[in-house]
Amino acid sequence: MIIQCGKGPMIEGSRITVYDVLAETRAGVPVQQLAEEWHLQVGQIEEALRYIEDHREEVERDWAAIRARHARGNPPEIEAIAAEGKKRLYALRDALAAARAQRENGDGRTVDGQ
Amino acid sequence: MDGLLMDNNVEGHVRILERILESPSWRELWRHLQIPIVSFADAGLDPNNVDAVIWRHCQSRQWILITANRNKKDDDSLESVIEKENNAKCLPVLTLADAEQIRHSRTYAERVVEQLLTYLHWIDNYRGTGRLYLP
Repeated sequence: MIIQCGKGPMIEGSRITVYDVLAETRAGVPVQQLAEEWHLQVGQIEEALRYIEDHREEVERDWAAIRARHARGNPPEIEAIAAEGKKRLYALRDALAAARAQRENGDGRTVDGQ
Repeated sequence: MDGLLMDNNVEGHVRILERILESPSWRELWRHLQIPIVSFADAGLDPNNVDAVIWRHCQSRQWILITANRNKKDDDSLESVIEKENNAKCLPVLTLADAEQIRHSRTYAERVVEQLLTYLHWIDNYRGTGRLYLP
């Protein structure tokens, strides 16, 4: 059954909205695969597809709004923090690799013998 | 931060990301971070709970919710609870900006993983931001 909740029209008891169903089926994911991933019956997804068909205009409008918000992404101040974080991420990855190389050599030499 | 909670709608996508996290490029760092990935079923969470309840549960357990395709602003929606209850100590919600692309493009999925790790390894910098997009 399709119920209305804060997320929009949803397959009851699943947290799967009609927007999820629209997005995935439009991307070509087979209904059977979705049923397995979402732990649902195929019939429940088919019911969501019928709901989409019956409420096409409204669902498409909401879906376009979701896509538009997602496309805007993070605000610039978050992107600035993330850019700095990315440098730290790679530094941490390199430090972990260097520490492992030292452990594996057992004598402090790096993996290339320097 | 004690875990990453997969929303039901992104379990398949997160499993793809998990395979990249366990690939040679990121395995060592991912294991160093020691962040369990938890499903609603693993956590015994009732999928009938409204998003506001899930968000509060995540804050109390110090879990980060990862989801997609959520943008409605009804009273019990994620957007609404973040607007009303988010503060500087709260963990953000992660939103896959283009979840379907993860299935179709390894390059894109790798970008998502890089961004995910960028957030997770320095997560305290993002407390109070409410919602973060991947990528």
